[in-house]
Amino acid sequence: MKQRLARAGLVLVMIAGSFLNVRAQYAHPDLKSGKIVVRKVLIVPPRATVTKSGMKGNETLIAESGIVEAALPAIVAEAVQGKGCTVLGNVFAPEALEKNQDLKFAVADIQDRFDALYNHMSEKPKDVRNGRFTLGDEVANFNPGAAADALVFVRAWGVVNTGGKKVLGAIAGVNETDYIVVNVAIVDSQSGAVLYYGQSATGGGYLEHPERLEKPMEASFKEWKVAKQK
Amino acid sequence: MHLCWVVLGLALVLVSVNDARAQQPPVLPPPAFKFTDVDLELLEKSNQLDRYMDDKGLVYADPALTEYVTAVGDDLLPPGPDPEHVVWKFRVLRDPIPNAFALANGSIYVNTGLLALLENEAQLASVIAHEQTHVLNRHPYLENRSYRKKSVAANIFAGVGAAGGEAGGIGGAAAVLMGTVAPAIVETTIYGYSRELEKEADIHAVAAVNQADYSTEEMIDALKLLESSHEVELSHVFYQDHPKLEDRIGYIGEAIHQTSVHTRHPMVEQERYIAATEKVSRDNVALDIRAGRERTAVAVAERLAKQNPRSSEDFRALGDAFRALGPRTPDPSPEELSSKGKKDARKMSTKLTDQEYENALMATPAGQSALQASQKQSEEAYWKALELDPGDAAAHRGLGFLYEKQCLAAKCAQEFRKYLELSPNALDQSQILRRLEAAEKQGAPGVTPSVKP
Repeated sequence: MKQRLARAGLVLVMIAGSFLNVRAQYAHPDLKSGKIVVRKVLIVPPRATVTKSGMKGNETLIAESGIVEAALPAIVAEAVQGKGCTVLGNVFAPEALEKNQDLKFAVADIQDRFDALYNHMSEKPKDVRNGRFTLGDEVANFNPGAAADALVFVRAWGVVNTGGKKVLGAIAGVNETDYIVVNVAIVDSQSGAVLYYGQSATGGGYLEHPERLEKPMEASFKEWKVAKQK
Repeated sequence: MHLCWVVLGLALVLVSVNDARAQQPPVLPPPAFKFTDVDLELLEKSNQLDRYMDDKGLVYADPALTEYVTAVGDDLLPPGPDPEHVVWKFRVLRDPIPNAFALANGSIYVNTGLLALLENEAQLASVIAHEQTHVLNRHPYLENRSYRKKSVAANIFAGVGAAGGEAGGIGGAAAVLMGTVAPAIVETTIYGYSRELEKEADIHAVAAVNQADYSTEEMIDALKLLESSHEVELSHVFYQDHPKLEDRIGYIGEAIHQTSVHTRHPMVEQERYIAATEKVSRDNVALDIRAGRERTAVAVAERLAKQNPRSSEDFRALGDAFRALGPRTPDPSPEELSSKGKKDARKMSTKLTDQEYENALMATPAGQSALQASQKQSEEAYWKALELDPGDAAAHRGLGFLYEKQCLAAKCAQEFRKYLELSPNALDQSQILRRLEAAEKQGAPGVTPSVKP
């Protein structure tokens, strides 16, 4: 009995630990000092990957990933507005992208550019504080971002474990809980510098109740100080 | 008399056998395939993946090119109705890596990087025929079933390993690695099927290419082209896997040798292919640059400029490619290709961002010398583009960026001004204006006119 309790405790500590780990947030020195002020942002379409992890392997749930991608802009917008920032209207609605192939490709290209940088950024997110990361000033070619001070990139990874996987995990004492991690980066729309990087995470049920991401998202912008609107 | 009839009969039989051999459709006997729930799930995933690629702007939108690739693909299909749950779709993917793959539902994707690399239609046909066989012989389903079995074993092993780990056992690390294998649909279709299934697809492709009156020899040339990368390849997709390639060249050669040629004048169709793929190859130069494949970008742009010396767009692409090449040489040095060189490059690319990597290269004498050579070539290519079309705004833009990097403020300002004059509604107007202002601040008051140096 004692052994079981110890194991359950260990699992709980691991779950709590894993979420604490992803609550990191880092601001660029110029953003922190107020040298750069972000008042208007444009949210670039989020990219989310929800994976079903089961006894028969892992597979990406494309439809479920779409649900998360659709829910995230509003959640991010609310959190950003909470910082006193204006979120520019969504010019990336699927219908708009379908009509404008150039815009669709421009979005795809800037997303790829960000993902290439993101690989490095996720390795050492603390370096955002040193102003190490930049998408390069060609980011200014991204026309929809012309009216914005900054672009907001969102990446989310979710895991949904099947019943079998959870049972096996419980037997083996491995943490097999459902979760989603959302990373947000704010990028200067002219210089391409990464101004802010925040992470948030929440446990299961996010597909049915995406609003569960609201609070962690809000918390992930804690370090972002926005200058008061004049 | 009887003997005469027998001889005549035998002769007729021989002729008909030969004729049948030449005309025999290369289709393998359709295997009886029963769809299970797992297969239908994969089919649905494939359909979803098609939509996903569209939604994310990964599919190259050029109706004329899609029509061309579809026409090549349609000609290679065996006669008769399409197999169950297969709708043939031929699409071009905006990806500079030379690769192609097929989904279970009949969608065949050819990367822009592969189209830019191949030299003629017969080579494209051989790639498409290979991918079609995967679909016709249900390889995605077979591989998916096999992958799932392996994965169940890996998960059980992971559980056991974790339990064993607590008890001081070993094996957890390997099991975790095995358990995190990428999903089957990506793993198999993009990185290759089992060796047997790939061989089956190759052998059938030889027959299909022959049947469609294309030159089968071009299949070997296509594989050799894939082998001759301009980059220091740190990882390989299926079409670039060198040991596999050598093996493939061997057995494909044998298959070609054993196949009776269907026509005396097999098609290669180089000119038609070049005309159909010029634009996509040029667009792929930009994709190569963005993906850090600057050397490939230079090689492709050089080929384009050679093929069409009257195209200002091709020379502009060459200018862009050389500008991006920066502190690298057009071909990797033997040191870079050595295992130590590759190890160092892998380490650098993991540790440094693209900009940091480029700065590190520029800090070396070799990098500086390569940079000067690249900039010279870039400038020449841009001026050639402007000679062919003085109204080519993007060439002025490229020159502006080039001079900016060379700290030639006056020339830089001149080129940016010309760009904005020729292209008043440019998407990047605000960015260029900002750069122009900066250049004007730095530049001498008397700006020299825009002339070829």
